[in-house]
Amino acid sequence: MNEQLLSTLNAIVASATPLVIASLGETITERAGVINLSLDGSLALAAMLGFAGALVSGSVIVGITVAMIAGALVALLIAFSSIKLRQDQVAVGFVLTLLTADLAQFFGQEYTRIPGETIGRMALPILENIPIVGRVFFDQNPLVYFSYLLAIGLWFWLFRTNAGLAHRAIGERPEAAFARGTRVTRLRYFYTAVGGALVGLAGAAYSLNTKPGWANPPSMQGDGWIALAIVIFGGWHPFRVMLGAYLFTMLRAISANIQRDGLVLFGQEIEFNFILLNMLPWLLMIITLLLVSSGSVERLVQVMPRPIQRRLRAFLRSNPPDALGVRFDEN
Amino acid sequence: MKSKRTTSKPHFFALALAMLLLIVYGFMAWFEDDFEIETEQFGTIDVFAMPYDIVQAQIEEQEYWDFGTTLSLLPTESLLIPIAGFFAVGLGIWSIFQPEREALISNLFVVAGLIGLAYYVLAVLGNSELISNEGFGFRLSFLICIGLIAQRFIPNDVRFAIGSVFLSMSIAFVVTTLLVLALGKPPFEVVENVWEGAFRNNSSVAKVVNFWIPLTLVSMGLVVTFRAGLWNIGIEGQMMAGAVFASGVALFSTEDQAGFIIPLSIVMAAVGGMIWASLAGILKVYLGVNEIFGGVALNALMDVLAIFLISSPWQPEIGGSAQGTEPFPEHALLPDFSPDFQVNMPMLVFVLLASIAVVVALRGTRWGLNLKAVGKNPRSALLLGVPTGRTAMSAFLVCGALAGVAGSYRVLFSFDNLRPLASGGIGFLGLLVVLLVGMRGLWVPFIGFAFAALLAGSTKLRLALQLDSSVVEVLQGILVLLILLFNGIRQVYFSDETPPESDQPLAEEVTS
Repeated sequence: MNEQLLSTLNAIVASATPLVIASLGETITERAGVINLSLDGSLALAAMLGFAGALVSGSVIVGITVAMIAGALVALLIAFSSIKLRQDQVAVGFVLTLLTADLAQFFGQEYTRIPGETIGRMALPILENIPIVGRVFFDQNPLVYFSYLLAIGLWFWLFRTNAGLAHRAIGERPEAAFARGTRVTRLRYFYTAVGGALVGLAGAAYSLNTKPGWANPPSMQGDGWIALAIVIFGGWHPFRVMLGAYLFTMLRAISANIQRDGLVLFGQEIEFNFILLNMLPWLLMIITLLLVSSGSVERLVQVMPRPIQRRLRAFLRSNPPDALGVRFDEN
Repeated sequence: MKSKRTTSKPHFFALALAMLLLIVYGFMAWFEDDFEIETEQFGTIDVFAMPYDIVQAQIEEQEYWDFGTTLSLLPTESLLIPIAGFFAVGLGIWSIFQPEREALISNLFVVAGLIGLAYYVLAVLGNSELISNEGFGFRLSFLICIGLIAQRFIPNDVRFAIGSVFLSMSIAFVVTTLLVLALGKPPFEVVENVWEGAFRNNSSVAKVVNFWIPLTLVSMGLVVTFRAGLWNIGIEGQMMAGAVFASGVALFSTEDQAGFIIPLSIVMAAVGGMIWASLAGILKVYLGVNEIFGGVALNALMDVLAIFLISSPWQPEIGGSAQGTEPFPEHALLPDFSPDFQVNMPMLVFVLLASIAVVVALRGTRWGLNLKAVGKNPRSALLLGVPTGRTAMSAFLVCGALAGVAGSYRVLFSFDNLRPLASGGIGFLGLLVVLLVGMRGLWVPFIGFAFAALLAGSTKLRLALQLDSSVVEVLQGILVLLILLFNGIRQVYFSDETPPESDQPLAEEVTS
């Protein structure tokens, strides 16, 4: 394989990582039955705080910690208002989307367009020598490795452990889980905070690695919504969510590439205003949501050969946790 | 109303203490002339004018002013005022949450405390002539009397609502002040600048009105969609669609079409908004794509489309860039009311008429009832024979039309060409307004005016104080968030009836 393609793929994996971490975090939250709609804003706030924290303290670890705390606090606010105060998660989440984005802009005004700390690349000793795969996946920064571990760990947690079963149960049938002795409310707070902290980590990944620094408007504007859509596209399953994030990023990389270099098809330069290519991620978002929500998937499955139908259906299924966004009172 | 008085002991003592403080503070205000004290640094100073005097002296001496030094210089007597004020506000708020009779005096405390705080702020701000020797104490007691009388006529839940609005506003202001202080900017100058930016003279008021017109239009549209239980986040895109359609008509008009070109472009803007809203509606109603995600994607698509139009087909011939199209010809622009007050009067009238029409339609027509039924419970509405799909679509279309007209006002009046992000976040601000008023259309124009004033006033901050204008958006966001939280507190802790079902299966709504 040629070197240019390998480095492009490497860059795609690297720049997809914040999206992967954010959507996995949201998966954790939504699996527990809470929707954290504030992603688009809390990513920006976490990115800004992470960058400023790292710059002021001179340590990336501090920046990441600050960002994670911020993300967790925003998420906890949503959990609190829905669990304790019985407010609409969507309303509170939307207000927080705007508020956190404004806060990021407000506090970030002193930190715009200045250089700061970044997370460096760190190749994994043995794995990087695997041909192709090593170059693409294991010559990366630590956050990328963390995202692999997170996806695998989350899958194992959700589908192979008892505690993970309880995690899914409070998102599907909180009454049943409660009857079996699970502390639904407490766990919902916990998982929302964990998911929020991961969103914060994703924000820090933007400002400390993917596109270092802080700018207004922030570079990750819109990514929060895409992450939310990816969770749906991924059917709340860690691996599919991860795949979705990579697909979206690949599409974006292709369209950015074409905008930069022009498009040559069949030996001919295509004359076209490539700004319209910026529509692609959003069109893809609508199309994927259309596919998973309108029953087209089922029709698609039915025209497939019978032997693979069952597996395909299992793979493409996208059912939200039954109690997603549904309030549950313990008493 | 029969009510048994059950005052717990700590509650009683707290009340008594607050009363005492309030009386002391009231008397101090009453006999303010007698309260002159000796200070080492500045000689004899009136307790009530003192903050102002100290600030002045400090500015003369050090040529700058900072809040910390002023606080450290103030003698304890004068600190009594804000302490009493804070205490009264806090206690008043606390007793709002108490059932029955204790709640009766709550507003009194809130009002009195807020007056005290406002007084203090004014003193430090420097408008001491406003308050010195003008019988402040008299005004205070007058207001207290009004408050007491008003108490008897206000039902409990309304009083709670007023109390939580007051409380939310105070907290939002305090938090924002702390944020501003954290950046090392003077908070009072921020307030002053925003106020001046909004109300200094006719032209700044006109600027407020020019924000208010599109804001009220989109908010009224959003009241309709919210009534149908729909989260029309696509409102920004619908505004932009209106702006693009209006620009299309205005750009290619000629002089001899002058008579009908303006109505035509506004109608086309409404059509554009409806088209974009209908896309969100079709996705939601017939294809099951949640309107939040559909709306967000459609917003982004419209933004890209506008940038494409500006940078490619509608590019100005000279100096083409992505900044904006060529200015529209004069006959296509909405005319000013007068050079002193640059507002388009027909549009102002239209906004008022549209607002009234929406309120009336929601309250008094079958359509309004259908919308409400669909919003409350789509399934039972369907069983009762309400055409749910068509009703939801109609809500989207009405909202889209209003948003389109709002967008056209932005390009045909506020600007004179089409530029990227011409909607300027007004659509999202409209969502905040509607959440704040709890979807009651009647309140929209008033809250909308306050928000528009903040928006218009904030434009001066960058120049005057090197402060990002997002500070007012932060304030608005905190305010709306607190209102939502207080709604929750009221429903959970202070409501006899069971709270309205806010736990309808959101899962279907948000994720399908």
